[in-house]
Amino acid sequence: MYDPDRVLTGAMHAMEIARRHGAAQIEPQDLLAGMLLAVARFGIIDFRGQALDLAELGLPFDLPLPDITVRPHYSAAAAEVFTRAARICRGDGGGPLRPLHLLVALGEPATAPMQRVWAVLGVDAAGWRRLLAGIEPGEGAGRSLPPVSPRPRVRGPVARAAGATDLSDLSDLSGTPGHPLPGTVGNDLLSPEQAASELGVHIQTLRGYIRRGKLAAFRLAGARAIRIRRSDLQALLAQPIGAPRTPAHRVPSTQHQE
Amino acid sequence: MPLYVAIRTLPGVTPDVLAGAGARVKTCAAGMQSEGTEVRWLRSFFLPASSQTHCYFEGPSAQAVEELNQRAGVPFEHVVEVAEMTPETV
Repeated sequence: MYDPDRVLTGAMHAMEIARRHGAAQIEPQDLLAGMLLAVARFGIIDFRGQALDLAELGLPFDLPLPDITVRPHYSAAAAEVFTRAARICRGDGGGPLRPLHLLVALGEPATAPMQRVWAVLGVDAAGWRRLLAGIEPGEGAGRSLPPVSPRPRVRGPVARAAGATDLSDLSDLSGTPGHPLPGTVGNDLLSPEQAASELGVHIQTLRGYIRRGKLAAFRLAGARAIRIRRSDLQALLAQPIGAPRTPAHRVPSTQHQE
Repeated sequence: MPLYVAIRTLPGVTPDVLAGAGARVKTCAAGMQSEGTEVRWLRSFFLPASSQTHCYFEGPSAQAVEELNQRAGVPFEHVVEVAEMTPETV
């Protein structure tokens, strides 16, 4: 995340994504996907307590070989991202540009794919910067930041979440700006991380609730991702201490993981 | 490897614009190298009095250097081959 060489890695990923689409230009959403891949390991970005699984965004981490016959160049919008990142880097003490400078810059202003990332994480622009700041070495290294306050989920039909089952390539994250975002968490559906945050419990505690049938959870058709209805969370909170537990749905799978 | 200079006039350019352009050039050079074109950005000099920037590259041809700058989205007037001279060589 803080290794300047990772900027090259992220830019190469962005280039490959543009190539895969046969695009003549590398756009900001390609940069976003590339930088996310560059700072992830096995498709997971660990924000010290809050993980982002790039699979939820349709970003595979096992990338195919590049097609070097397509030679895209940076669009004017992507060039502007670099300029903003340089400004942010200067404000961060200067030195080489790092992936997190670009990831902050990509949120100013946020493109639709970035807003989708925020929706999955349950953060806004300020929360995004806090997540990135929390994994930067230095004064804050080794210290957990306070949990990010979840913001209201992006509104959208619940059926949209079902679209996440078909995220088999990068087109949803690096596609046309403003295109409806498949997999966006609906207003009433939460990821396990978001649900744990809302309840104020550890993610493993929440997963225990699901395993024991204390909390209903649903697996998206054809995908590993799990969603929890907000109403079920509220029902859980509504149970007075000592009250008998109500039966709840189980995740329709033998796996006990997300 | 031949040396080339890309000459650009960038009136009103800011340090952030230059730094962003430099980062794009680096990433595009890495991309071209992965394609088999050994082109590298060596260094740049900014001439405040004329708002000119002289950027030095090594590469197989002027066309490769031009392609690198075009892919990075950094404008230039022209790219010409240069002969290097240092105190050690005279």
